Amino acid sequence: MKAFFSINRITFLALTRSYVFQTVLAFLLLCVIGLPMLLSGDGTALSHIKLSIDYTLSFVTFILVFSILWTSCTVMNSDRDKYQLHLVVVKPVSKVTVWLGKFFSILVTHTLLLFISMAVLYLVLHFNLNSSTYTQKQREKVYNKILTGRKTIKHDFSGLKQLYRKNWKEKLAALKKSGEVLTDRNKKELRQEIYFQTLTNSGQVEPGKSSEFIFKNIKEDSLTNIILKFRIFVGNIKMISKQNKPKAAGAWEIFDPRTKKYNKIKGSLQDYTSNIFYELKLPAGCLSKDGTAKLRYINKAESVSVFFQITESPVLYITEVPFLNNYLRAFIVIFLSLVLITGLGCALGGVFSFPIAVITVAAYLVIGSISNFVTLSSKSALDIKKEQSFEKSLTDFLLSVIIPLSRFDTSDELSSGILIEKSKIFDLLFFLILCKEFPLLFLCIYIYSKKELGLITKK
Amino acid sequence: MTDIKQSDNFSNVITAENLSKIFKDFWNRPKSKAVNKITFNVKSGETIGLLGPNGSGKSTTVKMILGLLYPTSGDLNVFGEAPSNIKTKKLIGYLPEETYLYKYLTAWETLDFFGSLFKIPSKERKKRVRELLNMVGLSNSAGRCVGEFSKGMARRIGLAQTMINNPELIILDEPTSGLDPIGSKEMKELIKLFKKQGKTILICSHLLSDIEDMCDRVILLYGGKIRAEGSLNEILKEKSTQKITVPALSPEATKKLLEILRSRLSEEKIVIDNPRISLESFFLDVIKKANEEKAITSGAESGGKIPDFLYKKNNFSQQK
Repeated sequence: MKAFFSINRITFLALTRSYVFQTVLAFLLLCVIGLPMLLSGDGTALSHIKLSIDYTLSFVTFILVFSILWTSCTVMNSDRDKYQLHLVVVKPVSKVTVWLGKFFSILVTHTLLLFISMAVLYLVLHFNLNSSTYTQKQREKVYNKILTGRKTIKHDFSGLKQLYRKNWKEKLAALKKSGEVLTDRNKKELRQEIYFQTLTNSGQVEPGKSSEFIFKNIKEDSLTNIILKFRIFVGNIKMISKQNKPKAAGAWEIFDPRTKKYNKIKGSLQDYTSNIFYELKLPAGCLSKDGTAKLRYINKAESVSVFFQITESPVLYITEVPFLNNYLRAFIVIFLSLVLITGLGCALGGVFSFPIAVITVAAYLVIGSISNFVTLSSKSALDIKKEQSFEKSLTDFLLSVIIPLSRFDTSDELSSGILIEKSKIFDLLFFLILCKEFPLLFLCIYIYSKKELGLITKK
Repeated sequence: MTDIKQSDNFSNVITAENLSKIFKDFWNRPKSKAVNKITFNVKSGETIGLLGPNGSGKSTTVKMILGLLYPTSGDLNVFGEAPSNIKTKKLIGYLPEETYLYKYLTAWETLDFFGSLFKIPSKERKKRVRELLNMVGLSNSAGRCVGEFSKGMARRIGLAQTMINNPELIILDEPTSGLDPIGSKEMKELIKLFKKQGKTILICSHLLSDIEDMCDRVILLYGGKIRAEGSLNEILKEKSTQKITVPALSPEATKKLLEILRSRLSEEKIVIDNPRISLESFFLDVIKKANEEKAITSGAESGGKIPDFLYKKNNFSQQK
C-alpha cells in the first residue's frame, strides 16, 4: 500500500502543479460563483434557482469531464513517453499498482473539485435566494418545487397496450375485408396512426364526463405532502401557440377508501388553461391499504373535450427527502460519471498514445450519447414491439457495449426538485460501471501490465 | 514464495544463457535481432563493463535484466529469479543513461518518492535522503525542482536515487555522461567504494576510459553478439612490450642505459620519452588549487560525505 500511496501522491502533485489543472480550478470557481449571479431566467425566483442549478451543474460536469479526459490520458502517457515509468517499475512496484495509484489520484482530485464546486453552489443558491428581493411566497414556491426531493408516480396506463392491439387487429380486419393490400411503409405509418389515435382517445374527457386515474405503489408514510401535477389540452392534443390558449372548466375528485366515495379536492374547481402545468395538494387519508390512490377529472365545460397526454400527466409528486439529501444523490451520480471517465481515460491512456486515447474515449462517449438518444426517440410509451431495422440493431448493439454518459445527467432532475432514486444510482453503479466498464478496465490493465517498456530507444 | 537470497549466497548474480531479443513489427513479423543468443554470468562482487557501439544490444540486455523488456528466447536470472520478480527488484539500483525524473518534484521529494517505493520507513527514509543529498553535493538544492537542474546535477540526483535502497546489484548506464571532470572523478570514486563493499556493479558505457578505470571484467558486444569477454588484464596485456617508469635520469645515466638496451635490442624498438599527465588530472589539479583559494561556485558541490547506511549490508527483511 505504501507504493500505492506514493504513486497517488506524486500524481496528485503532478496534477496540482500543472497549468491545465489550475486553469480548470479557476474555471470551476468562475462557473459556480459567476453563473448563478448572471442567470436570472424570467425574473422569478423559481426560474432563477432552476436555471442556476441546471446550467451550473451541467457546466461543472462538463469541465470536470474534460479535465479528467485530458489529465488521465496525459498522466498515463507522459510517464511512458518521458521514460519516467521505467525508473518506477524497476523498483519493487507492479505496473498494476502504478495504474491504480494514478487512477485513484485523478479520481480523488476531481471528486474533491466536484465537492468544492457543489458546496460553493449550494451556498451561493441559498445566499441568492435569501438575499434577493423575492417575496416570501416566491421563496416558498422554490422550496416546494425545486429545493426538495420529490418522487414522481405516474398513473397506471398498462391497459393501453391491449387497447392498442385490439384497435390494430380491428383495423387490419377491416382492411382485409375491403381487399386493400398494405406495403411495409404503409403498415408502419398506419401503426403510428393507430398508436396516436389510441393515446388521444384514452386521454380524452368529453364534456360533462370524467376520466379516472389510478396511482399505485405509494408508500404509506408519504401521505403528508402529495402534489398532483397535470396539464390539459382544450379542444385537441396538439400544441397551442402562446397567444391562443383556450380554457375549460374542470374539477378533480379523490376516492376515499373509508367512505368508498369520491370527494372534491379543495380549490380544484376552476378554469384550466390549455397546455399549462398545474399543481394541486391532495388531502390526507386518500390512500387505500395497498398504497393505491384513485383520482378523477371531471370536464365541466359545456361543449368542448379536454385531453391528457396520458404518458406524461397527471403525475403525483411525493416529497421523500429534503433538498440536501437529493443534492448528495446528485453528487454521487456525478461522481459515478467521473469514475466512468477516469477509468476510460486511464485504461485507454495506458494502452494507446495520447491522441489516440483522447479520440477513442471522446468517440466512445459521443457514440454512447447518440445511441441513447436514438433509442429514447424510438421508444414507444406503450412499449410496442417495432419492426427490426438495421439502425435499431446497430443501436442496440452499441448500447450493449457502450455506456451512454447522458444517463449520468442529473441536472434536470435536481433543478426540477425530482427525487434521484436510489434504484437509479444502483443501476448506474451495477449495470453500467461494474458490468460494462470494469471488464474493459481489467482488459486494459492486463495489457498495460504486460506491455514492454523501452521498445524505442530515446536516441 | 521463497525470499530472494542475498548476493553473498550466490556465485552468480546474473545468469544469461542463449539470451535473445527480437523486436517485431505490428504484424508480429521479426524486425530486428537486437540480442542474439548471448551467454554470460556476472559474479557477486564483480564490477563488469558492458561495452559496445550504438545498436550493439547493450541497452536491450540491460532492459531485459531490469525486467523492462522480455527475452524472446533463452534464460535470464537475476539473484536466481526472473527479472520481473518484485523481490528481485528490491536488490537492484539503476541509473539510466538519461535522467528520467519527475521534473515537477523537488530533489528531496524525488528521493523520498523512490525511497517509499522500497517501503523504507519514513524516519529512515528522511535520514537516507539527507545523507544521499549530501553525498552527491545537492544539500543546498534539496528544495529545488529537478526540472530546473543542469544535466550534471540531474545526474547526481539520479545516482542518489540509485543508492536509496543500498542495492546489492548496481546497474549504471553511462554513469559519467553529462558530468564535469570533478563529478566524473567523484562518480568513479563512488563506484570504486561500492566495489570495495562487495557490491556487484554492471556498467554500460561507450567511454572506454571509464570502463578501464573501474571494471574488473568486460563484455564486448557488437551486432547483438558477444565479441570478446574477459578480465582487463587478459584482454589488454601486450605481452611483446614492457614499460619501465623511473624518475628523470641525468644525460649520462640515460646514455648508459641506452647502450645496455642497444646491445640487446634493435634501435627502432627503443623509445625514451617524458610521460604526460592526463588532461583530467591537470584539470582536477587546477580546480583543487582554485578551491584552496576559496573560489565560490553555484550548483553542485564536490566532496560530499558517503552516507553511513551505504557501508552496511543491505537487509530488506528489516525494511518490510
